[in-house]
This record gives sequence, C-alpha cells and structure tokens, in this order.
Amino acid sequence: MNGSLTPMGSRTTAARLKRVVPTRIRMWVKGLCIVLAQKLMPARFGRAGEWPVIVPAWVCGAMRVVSRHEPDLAPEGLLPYLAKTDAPADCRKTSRAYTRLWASINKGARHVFVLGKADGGVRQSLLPLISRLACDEGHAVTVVCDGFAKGEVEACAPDVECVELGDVMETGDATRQAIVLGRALMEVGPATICVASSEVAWAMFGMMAPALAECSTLYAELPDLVARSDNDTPMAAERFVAHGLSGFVKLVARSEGAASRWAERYGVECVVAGTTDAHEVPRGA
Amino acid sequence: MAHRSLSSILDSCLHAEAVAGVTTCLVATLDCADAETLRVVRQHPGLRAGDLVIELSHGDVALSRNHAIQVSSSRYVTILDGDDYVSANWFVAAMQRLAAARGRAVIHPQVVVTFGVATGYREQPDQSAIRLDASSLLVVNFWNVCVFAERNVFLETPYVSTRSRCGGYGYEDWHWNCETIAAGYQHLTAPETVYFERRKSAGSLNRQHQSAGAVVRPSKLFRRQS
Repeated sequence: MNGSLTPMGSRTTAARLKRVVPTRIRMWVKGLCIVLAQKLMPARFGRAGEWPVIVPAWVCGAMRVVSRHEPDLAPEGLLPYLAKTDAPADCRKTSRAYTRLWASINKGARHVFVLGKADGGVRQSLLPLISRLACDEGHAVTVVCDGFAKGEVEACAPDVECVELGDVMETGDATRQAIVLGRALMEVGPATICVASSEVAWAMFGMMAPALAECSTLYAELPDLVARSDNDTPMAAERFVAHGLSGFVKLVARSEGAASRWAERYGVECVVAGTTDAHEVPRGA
Repeated sequence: MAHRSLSSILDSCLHAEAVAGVTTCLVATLDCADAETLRVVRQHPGLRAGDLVIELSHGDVALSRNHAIQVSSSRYVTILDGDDYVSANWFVAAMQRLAAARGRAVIHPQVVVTFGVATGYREQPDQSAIRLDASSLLVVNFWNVCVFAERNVFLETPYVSTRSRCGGYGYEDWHWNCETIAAGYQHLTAPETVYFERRKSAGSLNRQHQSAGAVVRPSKLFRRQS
C-alpha cells in the first residue's frame, strides 16, 4: 500500500476510453465515483463534506521521498486531509470586469467617484462633495459605487448617473473592486475619484500609481479618527506621502479643524466637505 | 525546520548530479536570522565545498534573494524558501522544461501541496497550455515563489523590495511574476514536479502582507495601453 490514489487502468486503456466515451459521460461517471468514494471512505478520500482530490501516483511518490525529512508529508497522514484549494480566479472575469466598468462609465463625465459603505463617511463627506461638483461646477458626474452606497447617492444626488459595482463585477470584495476599477480608470482618462475608505484608496492607487496619478485627482475621505486606536487611516495617508503620491491626494475632512490637522500632519491638501460639526470618534468605536 | 529543509534540498541536489550530471551550488541567505538558525545552517553536515551561507541584515526577502543571485555564478537559478520542500526531480525536470521551451520562459512546479496549519493541493497554470489573461494578475497570483530560470532573467528583472509594514507594498514574488510577463517571459510548469509549501500559524510573510493591507507594487503589466 503506497497511498497512491491513481485512476484505475493502464494508460492505453484510458486513452482508448477517452476516444470512445463522450466527455460529458466520462465527467459524470468521474463525479459519481468521487462522491461514492467520499461517502464510503471519508478518511481515505478527503475531508467530510468536501470534494476530495485524486492525487496522482507521482505526487504520492514525491511526498514519500520528502517525508524522510518531513514526517508531516507522509502520504498516509496527509492525503486524507488534502482538498483542492481554490482555483485561481477565472482569468476572463477580471478582464471582463474592468472592460465592462470602463464601458459603463460615461466617458464624457469629468468625475468618477468610488464610494465605500453607506455610513457616516459617505453621507457626511463625499455626497456633499459630489453634489457640489455636479451642481456648482456643472460637470457631468458618474458615480460608481457598491450596493450599500447607491441608495444614499440616489437620495442625495438624484441627477447623477450611478453605476453599481455589483452589476459589472462578480466579486463583492472592496479591495478587488478598487484594484480593477483603478485599472479601468486608466483607460477612461482624466478623472476625479473619491474614496470613502482608506484601505480601498490604497488598493486602487497603490497598484496603479503613478500612471493613475497622471490622470486623476483623488479625494480620500479620512475622518478625524485621531482618538481611534485601531485606525488604519493614518497608515494609508502616510503611504501616499511616503511614495511621493501626496501631490494628487486631497484629504476630505469633516471639519475645518480636522482639515488643518491632517494638512499639517501629512503635508497634503485638505478640503472640507459636508456641513457636520467637528466631533471625535469615541475610543473603541 | 531549517535542518530538515536543507537536508531535503541537498538530497535533491545530489539526485540531480547522480541522474543527469548536473552540478549544483547552494546559496543560503540568512537574513536577520537568530543564532540557533545560523548555527544549524552553518554546521549542516550536508553542505558541500562550493555551497555558500551568507548572513544578511536587509530584513527584506526581495533584497536577500537579489543578493544571493548576484553572488552566484551558475547559469541557472532556482528560488526556494528555507522552510519548504521540493520534489527530488525538480532541478532536472525544470532544466529540461526550460530547454524545451519556445521563446523566453521561466519554470514553476506543476503542483503545490500545502501542509502545516492548512493543507491543500493545487496545480499551477502553464501559459503554453492555457490561454491566461494577464489582467487577472491584478487580483490573483497564479504562481508561488518557487521558480527556475536563467540567472540573467533575475538580473534583468530583480525582485523589488516591499517592506510592507511601513510602505504598503508586499508580495514581491507576485510583482516579479507580473514584471517578467511584461518583459515577455512565459510562465511554464515542469511536469511531475511538486513544491511543498509550509503554512505556519505565525511568522508567515504572506500573512504579514495581508494584515498590513499590502498591495502589489505598480507593474509595467498594468500600464495603460496606448
């Protein structure tokens, strides 16, 4: 017993079968065998409830050799716990996502916004900025946002065109959305981008800068969370500064006081958006 | 851990020499290593006359790798992490695959088995066998750190320092994969080769990058298409 879980039959037989039996039937039979194997021998064919992986004999052989030095790699001990890890994302999805996003954005618009969740950051800071830019400065505006923020946008700025990220992207991961959107924006051209999450801002611009910096202005909403101990915002702002990107970042603060503090602390331009009174976020909030 | 990994790697070197007459030279970099690790590696009984053990204080894996590549004199280089393992046939199979490749290429193991606190099995893609959209590298890294290529590839496209704790960038091997693709290299896999990747509960560089919210550095691969 060497622990190998090889497909049954010789290579010649397998080749003959492949020529004769249609692919669909072969896949069906294979799937049925896997399910039965898992049900009948769960300790042998993978963890309960998960699809087991059929490990070729040569992999088992390699494991056996290496297990002389690393007992954890002995096939008998490891095979029952092996399952296929997530396959790489469908390579076509990402390409489709930013192509569709790019196509969805009104290229005649001067401004494109990316918003975070519909919490205080969006409501208090960015939406007033969007309204001001759209109404006061007369620019056509496209807002790109996730589902949470779309309602806020439509309520606050009903005249702006709103593209929901969920309609063009198949992942709800904000970081991935930001990265893909950043790539799409490079094709769109000059844009103004507002981000209500420092993490999202860094994800977008960290990977695309300086190319995106050449054609964009970033407004990053960074609430005055000086009292918050777990805040990641200063780290993001410091990163922009550390990598020479501060020239195109404008920090959006909720109050004059916060704007002054951030400008002094990070040496970047700050703007005040919204009309909220300055307030400190309680520790641990 | 270092002793076992080193023993396995040296076994693979001996296998390559015995099977294919390939001469290998190990360059082990110890970057900010503790005293015990230094002792274990320096005094490993399997080290051969031409092998090098270099102490560094970069605190950065990319710079350490570049340093090792600079001091090596061989035609081919393979990158291995010090706490992982690779199948005994890796050196020979990778060299054969590279020799058979059309055009510029780098070679990865066909299969990655993860063990330790997490277990898993995955096959790495071969760009000559499947049509891989390079834009997918925006959000996913298809190949792990283990790679085999001509030394010139690493000199032309060195690893770039990340220092994610203060800089926000990480995943130096992901970035290297992007840069080499942008430079026209195909990423292929050597048949019937396995890389055994250890997953640790603490001290993982990938975990550090993830917790720091690091992203990949800007790459020529993602530049605006003119």
